[in-house]
Amino acid sequence: MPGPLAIGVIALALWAVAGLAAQLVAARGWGQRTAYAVPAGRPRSGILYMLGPGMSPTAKESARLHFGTWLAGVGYHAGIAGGFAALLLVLARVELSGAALRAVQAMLAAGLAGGVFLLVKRIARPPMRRLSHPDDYIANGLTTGFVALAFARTLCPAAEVPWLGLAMLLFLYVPIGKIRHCFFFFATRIHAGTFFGRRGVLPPHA
Amino acid sequence: MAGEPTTHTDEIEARLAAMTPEDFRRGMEIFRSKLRESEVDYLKSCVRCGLCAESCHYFLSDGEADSIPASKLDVVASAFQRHFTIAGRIAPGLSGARRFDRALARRWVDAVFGRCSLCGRCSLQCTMGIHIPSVLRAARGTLTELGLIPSDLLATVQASLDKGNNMGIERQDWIETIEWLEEELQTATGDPNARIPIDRHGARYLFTVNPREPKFFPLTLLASATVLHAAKEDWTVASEGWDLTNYGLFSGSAAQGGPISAQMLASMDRLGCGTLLMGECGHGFAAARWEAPEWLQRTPAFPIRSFLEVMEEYLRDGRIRVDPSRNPEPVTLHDPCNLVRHGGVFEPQREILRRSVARFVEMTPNRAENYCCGGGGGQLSMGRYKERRLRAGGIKAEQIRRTGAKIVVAPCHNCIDQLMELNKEYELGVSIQTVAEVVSNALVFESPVAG
Repeated sequence: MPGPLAIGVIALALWAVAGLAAQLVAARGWGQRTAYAVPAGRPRSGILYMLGPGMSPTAKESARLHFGTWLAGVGYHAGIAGGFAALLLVLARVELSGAALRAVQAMLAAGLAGGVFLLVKRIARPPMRRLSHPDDYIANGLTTGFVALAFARTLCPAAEVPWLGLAMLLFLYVPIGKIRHCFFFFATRIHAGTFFGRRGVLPPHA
Repeated sequence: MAGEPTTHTDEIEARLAAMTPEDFRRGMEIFRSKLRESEVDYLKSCVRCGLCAESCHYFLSDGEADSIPASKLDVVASAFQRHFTIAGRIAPGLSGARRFDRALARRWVDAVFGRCSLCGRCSLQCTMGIHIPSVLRAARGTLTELGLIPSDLLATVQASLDKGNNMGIERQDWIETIEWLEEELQTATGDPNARIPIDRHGARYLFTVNPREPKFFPLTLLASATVLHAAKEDWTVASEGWDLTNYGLFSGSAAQGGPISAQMLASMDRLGCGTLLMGECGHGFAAARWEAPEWLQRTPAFPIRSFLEVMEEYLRDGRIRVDPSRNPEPVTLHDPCNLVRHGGVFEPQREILRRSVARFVEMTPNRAENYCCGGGGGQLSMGRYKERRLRAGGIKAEQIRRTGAKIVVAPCHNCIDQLMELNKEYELGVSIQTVAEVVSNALVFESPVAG
C-alpha cells in the first residue's frame, strides 16, 4: 500500500500530464493552417530532420556557438530523465544497485551540473537576466532541486521525504509554467518541420 | 538610447494616443483571428534559453536584449499569455503576461516592425523549433488593422491595391517602357525580330516583374528579356497585373496580400498562360508561391516558378550558352531569405553562377543559414528604422567583404537596394547584380553576335 506521499506524487503527476494534454488539445482548437500551396518537399522529411539531426551541433549554429550551454542542456535533460526513472523505481519500491545505480547517479550528477550551469548563466549574463521571468527561475529551481534530491536519495534514504515533496511541487507547477515545453517541444518541432519540409528547405541542401 | 528610431515617431505615437480601451480589446480579437494551432504552440513553447540571440543580425549589430529573437517573441507572447491563458490571467507576473495596452502596443511596434525583418534565421537555430516569423507576422497584421503600421510601409501596400503595382506606374508608362526596352533588345541582340511580347494569349510563361525594374533599373528587365529571347522562349508580360511584389507579406494582412496576389493571378486567367514565372524577387516569390494560395484559399491551377529555375534549365538543356570568361571577376551570391529559407530555391542560382562566371565564391554561412541583408520584411519601406537597418546590414557587409568578391549577385530587388546602400555605407567597392544580368552578360549568341 503506497504511503500518502507516494499517492500525492502520483496524483500530481496525473495532474501534470492531464494539464499538458489539455493545453495541447486546447491549442488544436485554434484550428489548423491551411495548405493550399503545392508542396515542394515532404513535410515528413522536415519533421524527421527537426526531431533528429536538426538538433545536433553539427546542424545547428546556435548549438555550436553555445556548445557549453548545449552540453549543459543535454546533461540537464538526461538528469531529469534519470530523476523520473528513479522516482518510478522508488514508487515501485525497487532499489537500484551496482552499475544501474551508478548509471542513474551519473545522469543525475550531469543533470545537477547542467541545471546549476544554466541557472548561473541566466543570472550572470545581463541579456539573459533581461529576458527572464520568475517562471524561469522557479522552473529551474524546482527541476534542479528535484534532480539534486534524487541524487541525494541514491546516497541516503532519508532524502526520500523531501524529494517526494519537491516532486509534488514540481508536478503541480508543470502545466503552469515553461516546463510545459516537455510536451510542446514535440508540437513545435513538428510544426516547424512541416513548414520547412513542405517548402523543400529541410532537410538542408548541401 | 542607441538604436531608437530617430524620425517618423510621431505618426505611431499619435495613433497610439488616440486609441481607446475598446481599440486594444479589438486588437486582441484581431490577434486571435490570426492565430492557429501552430502559432499557439509557438507562443507557449519558448523557454527563453537565449540561444537564438546570435542568429539575428539585429542582435549581432546592436547587442541589445530587445533584439534577441526570444525577446521579440516574448513581447508578443506577453499579451497572448494575459488574454488567452489561464495562468496568464491568474498569475501574470509569473511569465511576464501583460494586458495589451498602449505601452505594450508600442513595444509590439518596436519589436515586430522595428527589430525584425521576418527573415526566419532564428527559427532554424531555435532550441524548440519555434517559427518566430509566423507569430510576428500575426502581430504585424494585428497592428496593421489597428492602424499602427508605419505609414510608408502602408503606402506601398496601398499603391499596389490602388494602382496595380507598388510604384504606382501607369499602364501607359509601363507599356512604353516595354516598347523602348524591346528596341534596346533588338539592338543588343542584333535581331530586329526580338520581341518583348505584351499580353500574348496562351504563352508558355507569363513573366512578372518587380516595378523597381521599369522604374529605376530597366536594364535589369532588359537582361531578363535577353535571356528569354536567347532561349527562344514563348513568353509574355502582362499589360496589367504584372507586378510580382506583395507587401501584404510584410504588413501581415491577408486582407491586403490576397487582393494584391489576385491581381497577378487574374492576369494568368485572362491570358491563359501555362506557368506564372516570377522574376528575381525574394518576397514576391514567397508571397505568390507560398502565401497567396493560403490567403486566397485555393490551389493555383498553374505552376508558379522562379526565373532562376527556368534559367538553370536553359543552361542545362543547352537552350542558352554562356561564356564564363565574360564575367572574369570573383562573384559571390546573396541568398534572399524569402527565396531561399522561406522559398526553398537553393541550387538553381548556384548552378547558373558556376556556369556563368569565372570564379564563384560562396559566402559563409550560406543557403538556409545565410544572414538577412537587413532589407527584408519591408524594412526598406520604413524610413523610421533606417539607422537600425543599415547597422544590422553590417553583418551582411562583413560577410561580403570576407569573400573578396567584386560582384555580389542578389536575386531580389529589396536585397539589391539594401546591398547598394551597404556598399556605400561600408565602402565595400562591389557591384550588385541580378542573376539574369550575369547570365545576360555571358550569353553567347549563335548569330548574329551580341554587341
